[in-house]
Amino acid sequence: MTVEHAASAVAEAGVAPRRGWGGRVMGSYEAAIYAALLLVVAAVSIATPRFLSPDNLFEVARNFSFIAAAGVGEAIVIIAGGGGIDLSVGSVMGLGGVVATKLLGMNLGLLPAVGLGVAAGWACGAVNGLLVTKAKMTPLIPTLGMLSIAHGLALVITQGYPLSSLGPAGPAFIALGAGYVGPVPNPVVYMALVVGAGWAVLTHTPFGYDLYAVGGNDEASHLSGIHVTRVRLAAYMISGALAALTGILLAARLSVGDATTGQGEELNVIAAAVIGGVSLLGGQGSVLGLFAGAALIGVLLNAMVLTGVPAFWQEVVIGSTIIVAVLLDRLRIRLARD
Amino acid sequence: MTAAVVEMRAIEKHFGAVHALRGVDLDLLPGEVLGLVGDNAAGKSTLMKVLSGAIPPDGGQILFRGAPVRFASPAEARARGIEMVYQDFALCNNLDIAQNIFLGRWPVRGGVLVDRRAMQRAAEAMLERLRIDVPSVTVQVRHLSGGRRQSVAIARALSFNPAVLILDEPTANLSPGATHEVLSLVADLKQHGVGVILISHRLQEVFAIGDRVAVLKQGRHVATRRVRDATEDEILELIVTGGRAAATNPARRPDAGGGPESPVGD
Ligand SMILES: Nc1ncnc2c1ncn2[C@@H]1O[C@H](COP(=O)(O)OP(=O)(O)OP(=O)(O)O)[C@@H](O)[C@H]1O
Ligand SMILES: [Mg+2]
Repeated sequence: MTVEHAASAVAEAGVAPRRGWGGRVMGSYEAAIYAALLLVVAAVSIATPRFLSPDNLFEVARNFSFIAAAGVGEAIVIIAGGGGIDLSVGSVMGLGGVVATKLLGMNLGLLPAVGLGVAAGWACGAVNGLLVTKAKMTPLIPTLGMLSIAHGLALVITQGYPLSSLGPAGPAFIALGAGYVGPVPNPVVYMALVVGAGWAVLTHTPFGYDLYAVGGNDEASHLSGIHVTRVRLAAYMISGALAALTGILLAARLSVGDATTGQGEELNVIAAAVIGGVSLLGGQGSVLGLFAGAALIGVLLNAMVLTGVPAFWQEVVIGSTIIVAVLLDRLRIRLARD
Repeated sequence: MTAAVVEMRAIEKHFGAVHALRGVDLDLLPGEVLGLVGDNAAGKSTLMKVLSGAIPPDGGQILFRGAPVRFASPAEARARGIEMVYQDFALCNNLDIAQNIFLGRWPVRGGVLVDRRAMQRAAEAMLERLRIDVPSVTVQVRHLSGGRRQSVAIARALSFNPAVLILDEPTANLSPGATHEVLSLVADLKQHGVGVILISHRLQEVFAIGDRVAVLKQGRHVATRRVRDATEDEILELIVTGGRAAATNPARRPDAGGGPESPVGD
């Protein structure tokens, strides 16, 4: 007994730290994705030197800033677990932009128009969240429904025509999307703020800790007194509100409210999260990883444009990237189990 | 005789057609280790989940320090000092040891930010006091052995300073060494005045650290014995037969408390 005891103590003492080290390597998936990003950037700049020009780099950043910003909300939903995913972010982006531009056209001020646009997205998120947590629906279904509903509502508001008369606050609104802070385009500044805030919330606040706990084991979280449904509901609300705010900025950048803006963007957003290491099983991943995933997609899209790959192929590439990322996710899970 | 900390009276529970608990009585004395044994599906886990607030009973009464209580959630039982470590540990594999110990009770600094350092220091102090040794409280629990995981789960329960700790088969799936560690941890709790209910299929461990042992069979409480007055064979017999012989006999044994088969309590 004592011999066995000693032997097992030695075995455990020996094994645990080594696995801990392995765990840290798995945890540094973010480092791997940043390395991959650097590799792709290097390859693309060798293939097309134009890629590295500051103008082009800011253009790339501006384009993926919308993916990254909406991706923060998507990552929060996925991390909260329970099969969480938000398929409606693209349509909600469109709806947010349409609501805000419609209200601007009705001579509302900038802040109320933007605020109500965000509120519309928040409401979509609340419906998603309630259907998932209270009606216990598989997240795929209500958010797929919401994809259609939000797009439909945006079409009802625009009647199919782009909204380009933006009232007295129009110029300020357009400046929001087209302006710069120093050399940095506003959307990139917006992305930096959202990513920074998302990182801080997830890694330093009780809500962020609750989110990872709920995603890791909802039963254990519930028994410890965490309000699992409240946390998940909040995740969908954040995703909806953030998607709408991002869509409003996109509308400002395009100077027009259009129901089709953001269509299909959910694919890029989900791909960014998954490539960035946000596991579809929940409880794993980070905002910094998501940011790298969004950057990787942005660079790939830009590289395809620069090298003259036809636009239709771009969707094929993004779709394949998602599938590869999910396969990698499965592989990581299997490795982590060993 | 010391007053019981917890008295469960005529507890009833149905799961659809399954009558899981059929009027079960159970007492826990302060600072004692009470073994709770019985065959698979006897209702042990269900009875303890009723006590921990995880399952609402259909009938019966719970007295805590003599006063009737009703637990609608684990939080309400916790507020009275009743903690349960569930059969499957209920840990978050994706979180580290410190985070698992402080699950949902993250120490907060300045009202908004989680104080990670304070949490880790408190977790280290907690584990040291219990003499649970882990490489570092920042290791994810998924990388720990079964025994360490169980110890972390117990440490979390103890961090609430409970008066009553319920352990559901804490040594199932543990190596002999890890089993020994967990059992000596539980035996130490007695010195802190914590009452322990230990669900187990291993009679040796109930006899090694238990004071009394209660037997359930098919949702009924069939007997409670003082460990020092009973034998493993006798308890085994009670588990298997439900002690029909024993149950009809006590009337003919006036020397309660002395004889090897004497019921205790009531
Ligand atoms: N949530 C539930 N839903 C339906 N039936 C349940 C549920 N929990 C327990 N039961 C049933 O209640 C009965 C008692 O189960 P319980 O888990 O309490 O037994 P146990 O004594 O803990 O058994 P074991 O030794 O196998 O852990 C069993 O028939 C079980 O199938
Ligand atoms: Mg059980």
